[in-house]
Amino acid sequence: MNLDVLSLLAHGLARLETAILVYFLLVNSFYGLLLLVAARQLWVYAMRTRSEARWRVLGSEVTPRITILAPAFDEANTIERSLRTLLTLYYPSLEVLVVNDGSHDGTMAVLLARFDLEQFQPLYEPRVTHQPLRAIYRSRSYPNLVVIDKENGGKADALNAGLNAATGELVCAMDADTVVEPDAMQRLVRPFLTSDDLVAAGGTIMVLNGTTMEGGRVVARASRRLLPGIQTAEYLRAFLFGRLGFNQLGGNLIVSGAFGLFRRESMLAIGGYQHDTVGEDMELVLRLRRTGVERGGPSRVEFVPDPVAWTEVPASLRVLGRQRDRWHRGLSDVLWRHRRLFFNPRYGLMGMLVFPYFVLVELLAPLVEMLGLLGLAVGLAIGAVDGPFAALFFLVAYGYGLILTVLSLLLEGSAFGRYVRLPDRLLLLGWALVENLGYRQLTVIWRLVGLVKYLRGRRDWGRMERIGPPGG
Amino acid sequence: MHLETQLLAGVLSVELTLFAVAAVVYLAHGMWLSATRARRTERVVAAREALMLALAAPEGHLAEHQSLRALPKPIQFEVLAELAQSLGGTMNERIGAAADALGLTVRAERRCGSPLWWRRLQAVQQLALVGRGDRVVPPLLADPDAHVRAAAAAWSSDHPEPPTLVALMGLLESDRGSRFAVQDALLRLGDRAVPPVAGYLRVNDGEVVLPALRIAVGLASPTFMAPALRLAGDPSPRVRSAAADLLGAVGGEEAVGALVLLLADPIAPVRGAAARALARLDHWPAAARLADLLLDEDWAVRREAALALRGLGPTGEMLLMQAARADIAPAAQIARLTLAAPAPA
Repeated sequence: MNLDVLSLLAHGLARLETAILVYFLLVNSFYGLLLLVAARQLWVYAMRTRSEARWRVLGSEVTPRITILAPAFDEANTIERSLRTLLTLYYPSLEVLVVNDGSHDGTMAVLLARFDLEQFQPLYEPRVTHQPLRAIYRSRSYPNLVVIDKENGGKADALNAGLNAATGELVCAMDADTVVEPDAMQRLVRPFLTSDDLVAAGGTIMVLNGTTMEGGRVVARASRRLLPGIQTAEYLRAFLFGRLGFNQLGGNLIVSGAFGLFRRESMLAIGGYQHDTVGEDMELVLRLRRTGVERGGPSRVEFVPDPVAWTEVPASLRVLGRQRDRWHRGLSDVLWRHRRLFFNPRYGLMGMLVFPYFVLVELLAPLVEMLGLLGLAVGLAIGAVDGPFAALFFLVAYGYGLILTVLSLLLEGSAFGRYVRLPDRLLLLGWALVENLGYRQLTVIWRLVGLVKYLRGRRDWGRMERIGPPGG
Repeated sequence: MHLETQLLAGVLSVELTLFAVAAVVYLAHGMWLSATRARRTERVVAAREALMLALAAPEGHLAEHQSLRALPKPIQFEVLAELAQSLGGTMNERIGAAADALGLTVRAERRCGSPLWWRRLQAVQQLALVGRGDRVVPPLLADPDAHVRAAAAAWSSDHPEPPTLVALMGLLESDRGSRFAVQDALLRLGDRAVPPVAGYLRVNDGEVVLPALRIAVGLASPTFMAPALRLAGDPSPRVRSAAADLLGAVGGEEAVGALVLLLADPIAPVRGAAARALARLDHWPAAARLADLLLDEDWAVRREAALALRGLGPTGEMLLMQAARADIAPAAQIARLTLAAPAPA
């Protein structure tokens, strides 16, 4: 009888492991398809922009006005430098709107002391709700700088306060600590100049840790520290082929909260950011796209590969774990809220491909991967699977993924060549290898923790500790 | 079992090969890039310096400079284009002459006929930078690729021949992909763009005229008066709003009369646009009508009316103060806010 149970278990485990192996094969093959599509897109993009005269955007009367919304919460260490970078962006009609979201660490004092602020009362209609304002300031030294000081209400709340007061036709949501390349706005605005059906565009986020600054510009360097180094390779992969590939396969559902450009009127029309989710960036994009389809309005989201914003990533396991846990809680929440899109033909490729991908891969992959790893361990112990099968499992799940990561590094290298020095490239290759040896498994655990917490109703953010940009 | 081991060996060897090839290409590409970037920078700097010296000399022949000739064609263009963007008049003509002498113009003109869109695109962009291409670029305003059409439209801002202007107006109506480039080109053309834009506005109506109305506002010529008056009665509220903006830009008695009528339009954004336009014209006799709009049901209209009153100077401010003291909530609130707001720049 015991033997029967054991053989039944072994049989079941072998089937499960085979199914999981096929799952990984399909997922990685889909990534391979995304990579191919992204490579073609990148080539087309490079050809279109190679000899373009961007000075026309700089000197044109029809260039749309952009408001940068930079919510700041306890950013006293970094706010001055980040804000000065924003104020020197090369864009003709730019408003920088910082929202101090009830910081406790003297962020507002730094702003008052360093930017020559005076209180004023702009005339605008509050169309989306948020926590009460304390005061609004403008700078005597920088005519395009506005600072809103308000009660703490979270990032979405701060963005809503900024959205009301913004004067730009387009708004760029940005983390206050993000370092943006000087010409990034000219690049990010491109798709809005050529299409009416666009609601949002996102740029590339790259890892600031380990970089250097030369002449006010960030110079890409691969971090020598383990966690930021691995995340550098991870971000390159995610942005370059993940998001670029989806431009052609139904459009993106995510525009990074650290750097994205939106049509302001479309955001106001749907009530701005939702306060009650930790995945407010994704929730907004999904709602914009969904509402666009339902009302027959603009609904397209485009990823633009060459405008780059640099952001500091977690350098400790504790903070990284909290971040990934929060991201996964956000993802779960947003996908649940918009579950109606799942395989719904009304929403076209978004409903039939992109949304199901996010559910079946982005949401459930950690669960499948954990099941696969545990099943493999038990299977090996009871003889349900053998050594060659286990090796095959790792080759398909991790080896295939590793090759895709190296190919995405190659794609970045050939298209933009930011990491050009041999030591940086060697480091990136090393981090791509190391990623599979513990880091990826840890992210699986953190994401599962996030999923469990979501199911138990947790909605808080957690804290990110920042040291500031290089030389800061 | 045997099959599984064979499969494993096969997958392993494929993955190892792919990894090794990708890694070697990645590293080799990095080394090649480092070397070529450094060499290219040196050569470009030398060519740029030689070019600037030649430009400074009264009779310099730019193309004779060896440092420029030694560069690959795309970089020759890049160096010439860098200077062309910041020069004008005869200096720019000399850049064009240098492009001719280096064979760059002929090459780009030939590429304008290429079946490959990216070659045509790059060729038009290059010809725009050196001010050449009169014969080959205009037909590209009808190119199947939107980016090529946009590049040809950008080129047109320095080549305002009548057939080109007609083609630009056609693109303005039908082609979203090149609309920014067309609008920008027409605005850069200034007075030369007035006749085709006015002609277009005289015979068209409905929302297709919105891009042309936007250009007309930028050009602000009295020639637009008749079409603006006509379009102020268009069935589309968006067109009426844009026409109000245009009337505010053009000005005159007739414009004021039409704008006062639009203050009573059933659609709020039209009323708001009319208020804004009257403020732009500093038409203080309309102050009382604007004060009535402080009670408008729509917040944005009240805001425009209040800002317009403030823009009219003492007469308007007096009316705002009266409204602020009065006991009618919406008018008092917007008036107080406006009076507290900073003065317009």
